Amino acid sequence: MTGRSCWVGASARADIGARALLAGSDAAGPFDGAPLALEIIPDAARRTPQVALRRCLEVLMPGVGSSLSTVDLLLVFAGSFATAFARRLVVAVEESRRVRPTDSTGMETSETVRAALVALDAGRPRSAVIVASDFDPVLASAVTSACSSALVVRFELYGPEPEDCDVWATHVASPRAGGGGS
Amino acid sequence: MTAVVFTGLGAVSAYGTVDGRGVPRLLHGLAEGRPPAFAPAEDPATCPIDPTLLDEKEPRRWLPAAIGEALSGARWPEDGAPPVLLLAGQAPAPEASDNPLYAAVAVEVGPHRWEHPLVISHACASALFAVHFAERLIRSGAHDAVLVAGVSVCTPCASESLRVVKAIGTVPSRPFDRERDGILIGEGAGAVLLERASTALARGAVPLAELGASVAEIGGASSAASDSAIVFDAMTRAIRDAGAPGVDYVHAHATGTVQGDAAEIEAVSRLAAERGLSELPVSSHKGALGHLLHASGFPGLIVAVSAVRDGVLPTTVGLRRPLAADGVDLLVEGPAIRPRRRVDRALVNAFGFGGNNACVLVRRSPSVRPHRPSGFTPPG
Repeated sequence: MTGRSCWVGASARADIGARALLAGSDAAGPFDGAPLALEIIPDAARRTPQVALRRCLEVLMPGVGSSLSTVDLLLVFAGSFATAFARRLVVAVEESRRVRPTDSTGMETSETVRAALVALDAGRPRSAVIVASDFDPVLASAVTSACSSALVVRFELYGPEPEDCDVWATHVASPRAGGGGS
Repeated sequence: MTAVVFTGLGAVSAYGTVDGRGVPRLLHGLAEGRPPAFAPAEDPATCPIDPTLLDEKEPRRWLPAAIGEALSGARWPEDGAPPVLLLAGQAPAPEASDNPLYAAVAVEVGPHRWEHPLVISHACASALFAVHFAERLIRSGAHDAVLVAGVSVCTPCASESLRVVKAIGTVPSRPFDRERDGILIGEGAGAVLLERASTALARGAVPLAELGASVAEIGGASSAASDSAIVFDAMTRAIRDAGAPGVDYVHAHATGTVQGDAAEIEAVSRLAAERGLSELPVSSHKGALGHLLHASGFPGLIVAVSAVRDGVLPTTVGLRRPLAADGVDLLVEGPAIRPRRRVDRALVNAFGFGGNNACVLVRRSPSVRPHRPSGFTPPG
């Protein structure tokens, strides 16, 4: 990995520090090393993943620059998180409960991301890709190494509901990269 | 810059699979300008495939069938390692669930098997976002070849997810028509194989067209409504990133909703004005096939590749009284056309709930040799 890499996390769980250490010792690609910041939110004040993501991006913004429009790629890993949201729609339909509009639009992980970006009010990345699969440090490093500036986000579920979720984010700057993709 | 090319296409649609020459029947059906014969629908929001028209009658076999067509068309060696697979879908299936809303956790096609393929999840723009990610994987050097595939099946979940946001129409979808009133859900599968041009040529594959550029972004003030300014920006960036002066055809997202179609055609009209384009041809497959949701980008990609290879543009089934749009030629229902201006570049649009906006520019490229027409010709 070239350039600078730092990461932040937000969680409603008290033991996120332990998980962060695990991640650091696991050579976790862009999340390798000690976190820049970890924010632990008591269960009683559970934050939505959207708010947690916005908070992570806020902490990273000084390193990103004045606007997210300088970010070439926002790469999000959301495997179990995406499945949990989809399951919510399936359960509502199969159990003949009232389906809410947010069960449809909100089941897209991109809606969580979109709402966080709107709330942050710092522009939007030039590209975004949501991989609804488990975090893959090799894949993340390969793709972001071709970007001059990239954000990598992980939604890590620890319970059955999408709100039972840690959010980790990191900024990767590779000044020598010519910009990946198109 | 590394050239990325399309070398294989596959489609399972209500028109069938492929003909004897390997050309997707989707192209023949759209070229005739008539909707296919659908199976009787229990849910009026859907237009399901008539399985008697297919060799692969089980929906769970549609995805492997489309992938198999793409690999076969690309002459991918059966004894070689398969290309990495990206699935355009909602999310991986939890254990013990076979609900087709979820993406498959394993796919098997002939001798090839993929376990836990990556799922690219961007609502109805998923296929084009997956193409964008494939482009990144190839240009970054991570992979030489990436297979992008997806499937959509009519289910109560699909219907209810659109019904609850009042996007379902009362009549078959009529994209860009003044009397359009919403979406009808279709079904089918698609697959495209993307490769680094140099390695594709080295293994003897025949490039079908070049991926000029792709744009995939999340933005917009609303979770569900299209944003004309963002659509315009995405199309403009795709053209600029491809280093192109303009485009010769737009395969629109155009689902048949009042708001979405209006926002998209406003953006295309603005693009035509700013690029000095006149009578820019625009059409959509959704009047014929319905909306394939997460897999809805595949018919557009296949049409775009065909457009730059064969110069044939399908019209929009159901479009009879087009919206007014300066600089744009909305191709009304009828047989496909062969425009006077050569089709060198085709733009494919896809948008989705959750602020998803994607454009892919497909082009004929002099750097891609040999160029071999597909053999597809329009009726008449």
